[in-house]
Amino acid sequence: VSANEFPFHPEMARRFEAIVFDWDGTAVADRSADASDARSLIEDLCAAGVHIAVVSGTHVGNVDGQLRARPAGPGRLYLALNRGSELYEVGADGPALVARTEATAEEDAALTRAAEKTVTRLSARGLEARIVSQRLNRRKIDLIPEPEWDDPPKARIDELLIAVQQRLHDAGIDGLVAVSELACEIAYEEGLEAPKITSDAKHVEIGLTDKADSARAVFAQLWHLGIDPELVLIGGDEFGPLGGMPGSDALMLVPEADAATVFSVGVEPNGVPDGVVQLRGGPDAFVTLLRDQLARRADVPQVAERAGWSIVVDGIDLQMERSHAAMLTIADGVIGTNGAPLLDHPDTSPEVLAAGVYDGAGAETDLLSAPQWNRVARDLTEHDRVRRVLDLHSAILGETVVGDTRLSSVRFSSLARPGLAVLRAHIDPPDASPPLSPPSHHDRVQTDSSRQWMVTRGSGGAIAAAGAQHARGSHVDRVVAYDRTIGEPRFADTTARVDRAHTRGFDALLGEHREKWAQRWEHADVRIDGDDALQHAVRCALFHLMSSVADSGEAAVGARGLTGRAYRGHVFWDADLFVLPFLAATHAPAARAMLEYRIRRLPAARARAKDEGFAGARFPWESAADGREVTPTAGRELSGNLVPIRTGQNELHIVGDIAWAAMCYADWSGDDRFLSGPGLELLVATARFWSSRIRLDTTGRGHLYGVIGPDEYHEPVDDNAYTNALARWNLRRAADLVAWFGDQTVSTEEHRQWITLADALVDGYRNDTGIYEEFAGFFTLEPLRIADVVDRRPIIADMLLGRDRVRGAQVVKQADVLMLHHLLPDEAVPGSLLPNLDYYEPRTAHGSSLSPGIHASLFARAGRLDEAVAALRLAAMIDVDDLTATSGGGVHLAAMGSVWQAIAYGFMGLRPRRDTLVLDPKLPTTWNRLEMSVTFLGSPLRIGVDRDSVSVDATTPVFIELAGIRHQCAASSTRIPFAQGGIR
Amino acid sequence: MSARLLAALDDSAAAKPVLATAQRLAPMVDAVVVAIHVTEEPDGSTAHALADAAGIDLQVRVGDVAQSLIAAAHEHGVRGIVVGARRANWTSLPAGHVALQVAQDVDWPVIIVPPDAPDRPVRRVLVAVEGDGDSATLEMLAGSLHPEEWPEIIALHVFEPDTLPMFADQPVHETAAWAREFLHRLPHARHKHVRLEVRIGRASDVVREASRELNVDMVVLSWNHHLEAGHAPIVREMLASSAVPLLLLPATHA
Repeated sequence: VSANEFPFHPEMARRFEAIVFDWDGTAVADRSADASDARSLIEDLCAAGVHIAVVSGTHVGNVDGQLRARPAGPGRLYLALNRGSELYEVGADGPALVARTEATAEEDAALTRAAEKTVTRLSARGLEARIVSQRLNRRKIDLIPEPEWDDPPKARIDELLIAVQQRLHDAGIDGLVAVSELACEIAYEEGLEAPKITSDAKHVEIGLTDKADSARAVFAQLWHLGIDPELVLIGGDEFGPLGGMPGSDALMLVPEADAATVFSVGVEPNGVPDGVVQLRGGPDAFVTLLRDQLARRADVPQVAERAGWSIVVDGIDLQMERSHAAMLTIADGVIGTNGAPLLDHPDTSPEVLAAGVYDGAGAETDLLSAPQWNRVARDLTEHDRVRRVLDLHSAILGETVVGDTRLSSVRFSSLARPGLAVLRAHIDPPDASPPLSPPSHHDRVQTDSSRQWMVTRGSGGAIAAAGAQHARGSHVDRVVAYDRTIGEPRFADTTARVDRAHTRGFDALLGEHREKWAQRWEHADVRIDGDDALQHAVRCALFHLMSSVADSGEAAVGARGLTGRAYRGHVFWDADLFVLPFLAATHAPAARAMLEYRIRRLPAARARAKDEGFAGARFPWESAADGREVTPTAGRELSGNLVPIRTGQNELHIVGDIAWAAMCYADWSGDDRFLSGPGLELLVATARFWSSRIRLDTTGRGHLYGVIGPDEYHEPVDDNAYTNALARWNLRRAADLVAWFGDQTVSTEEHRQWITLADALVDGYRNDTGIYEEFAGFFTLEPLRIADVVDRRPIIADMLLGRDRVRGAQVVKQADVLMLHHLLPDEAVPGSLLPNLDYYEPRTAHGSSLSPGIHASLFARAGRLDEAVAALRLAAMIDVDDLTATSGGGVHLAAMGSVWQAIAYGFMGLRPRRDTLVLDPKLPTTWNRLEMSVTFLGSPLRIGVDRDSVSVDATTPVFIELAGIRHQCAASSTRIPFAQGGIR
Repeated sequence: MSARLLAALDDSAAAKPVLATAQRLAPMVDAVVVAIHVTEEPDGSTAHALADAAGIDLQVRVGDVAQSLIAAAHEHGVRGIVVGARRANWTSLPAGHVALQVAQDVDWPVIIVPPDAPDRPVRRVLVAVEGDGDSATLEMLAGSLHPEEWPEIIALHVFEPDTLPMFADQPVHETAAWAREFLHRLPHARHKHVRLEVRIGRASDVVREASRELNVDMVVLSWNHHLEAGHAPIVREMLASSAVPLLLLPATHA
């Protein structure tokens, strides 16, 4: 039977990424059959990137002895054996154990007793049965120990079943089900908690695990490789019921495998369950199917569509297209490519951006457009229907076109090889577009026989790109490598990278990319059980946070990441305070790379401080290529008025924000090498700036005059509480670090001065009310509560009421005093969160997209969970629903970071404190469970909260503090019940 | 046969700017001017003199002025009608009754020319555009313009308190980002470099002030033919106060 002749069901006539199958009866006729066809096909499939999992009740010697496959990757070969008790991965050296469930001595004894007792009971009914083997975690009872039925082939399953049923009937036993029920009952009597009873007609087995455990283990492995169940084929020969019992292979159909395609090659005398494709044909059919899958490796892979894990855009909607394209951006931290369609259309704006490569000077500095790798030089017509699907779990964008052009395609920006973009497309009529499209007609593309390359240059660097493609007929495989350089690019490096990738091939590149993304999610996912829309929006946020930041070298993270050109790619406090904490807690190397961006610009910050007559380092409010200030000094605001911009001159807290980011990274990662080296340098330089900027009054109190706090409606002001508290913290932390690590450049006198100044610095706190004054004189302003005078917030209050009115009133743009409670809870007066939240929130317009997420966090900590959820939802939906009508210029990365912070710091109440992770969880009534993954001091953790307990899954022991009690959690799963009354 | 632009010339001082406006607009909309004079009693010396000077035939009809203009427009299948805005300071009506009746009764674009309209080419046009992406006015205008005769178009978007955006993180960047996205949603604007001006306030006030401040040569508004109290405040305001010709595009006009 050839692949072409095989009557496949249409559901099966597509490319799958993994094949999970039963061994005996499906892949081979029996234990002595020749498995060489299956072996060579399995090795070839693995070489082509397909993951294979063999599921069998028997042991590794039997299966591996018969299969003897030694794949060399990139596809993995798993053996899920011993009826769910063992998982092996097979490499060039043979099988290696991945996981094994082992019975305790008590369980083992209970299994033996249960089997013996079952045989005794059956014997009493007149049925001779025999315990045939004592295998790992199970006992096998032969119900028909007769020579004729010693080793029946699977093809005779229906005859065997009749013989067994007859035998049972003769003994007055009502079929296999009755035997199973008896065995189960006895197993419980003998003390087994969850016995698994299975039958293959000849035997009944009592065990601790079954094939369902195998399937769960395999699907967990596949998910970790970035393979969605939708991309998996499950094969067996016994899905249909047998003697009243579900077929043994039906156990593989666990919920984790929900979207898989299932086929049976078995006889299936009683039919197959709904959803299982019945092929029949036994191992021959199976081998044909493997051959067919091998032939389909040149196909375009399917992109999974899983609720909560994908963004689907049907058609092109002029009003939404640019925001859709931004949301569909695929990026690897080095380059970002928006999700504009591959074919040209006047309503779309394809764009490729490279992180940190700028052009222009001063305020005009802007991101440089990179050559495009994703163009098909053809127009979409009115007949063409475009559909785009982004799978967030594996960061693969699929696009299809049906109409005048027929296109199926996938593309990705490789997380395994940042700066490498990959496209596979089937396009009809065939297309001859080159791999690279220059961003402007000035740029020249060079070509040789096998590839193209070009460079685009800006004043702040250059982007070199080299592309190669394999195009035959309608099939295109394209790879393009990008390099960012300060000086002249070395094309040899870029072309070598593209050559290596091209040689490695599409499937290997796809597999490594999927796996990298799956790992990132494994350490970063947030699961909200009970709010699907919020869950999806949170995933969208995490996706863009992860994809926008490189994890080596330096990472310049602009306000819109790599998803658009708005805000010119300038780097604000958005990066350090809003984006970085998520990465510090989930993928520390990326947070480190963000800090590296600042550290490499310390010389520019030092030069500026010096120019302005201060010590230390003064970082710019808006930063781009060289670390000099790129904030505009004037511009038009929404009213059309030309206004001066003072943030570049006065918004000083950026200096402390960067110091805070360094400590945030160190607190989560425990990276002492950083802390004692560049971290210390950063803290010292920023502390020095503050110490030179603080002025002492005649009473000896310290002040910071002429600053702008996060509340930019009031500028400039004196003694902004947040700025002062941050400066105080900065001075103290620098002093601590110098005392701990030592720093030759800091004299005893300077060290003492930092502490003195920190103690002298006023922070506006009023003992009588427990409220911080946002800045000197704030309490004397017009007492206007914006919540009382507008019927909706957020609102840009300065535009609504006029700049002058707002400047003279207690109207706050965004969390300012409250930012102190959010970032520096230990620096704020204990118990001051509630009075300040009550006072400031109604005075806050939330006229910045950074505000709702921070308030969600604070509301959650204050136990005001309805308000917390509402604020979180607003923050999470800013780009999902394009609430600002500006998402087309890129997604609001800082707001996305604030979403994570609201969940982590607010709802979960996480705070790293030296060697202990503090938890103070709050679960809204509408959520059933909240779960999140973080890495604390190098230990990946999964923390779950439900109504009555906290669970911590750790791979190394970790200290957790909950409700003031410190728990040492072992390297496994720990459940900590809440005290009486459950969760607050 | 070319499309036609009907210029309604009376015997007042408004006739001159009406004809001048029609002659300037005609090539922009790929049309020729048809001049008409309607009178209840035979006369028309001013109109004749103007038409003669311009080298245009003047059609003369006798009867109800508005009804005759409308009938003539139907007969010629015109692309638009240019009429004078004779304002009477003793009535609450924002413009002369002929202009109002014509504008309200036809489905074509109507250009209402104030008697003191400046004598200058139409080089800069102000178009009041509605909320996010609802760009019908601009699209209608763009759709009827000759591709090579585009004036400079300033799209004016007015935020009223109800429609103010939620956020302006860094106002200058935000304004630029908002404007860029707004224009990207306008297919014609995108290609023809329409400039966006944004203002905050009561729309009728803002349009009037912006038309002066930006020194435009024509203002374009869309409307639904209703001028009763409470309707079309911007149209009413501009009819009453515009110093430059006002192009009214019926919202139903495709």
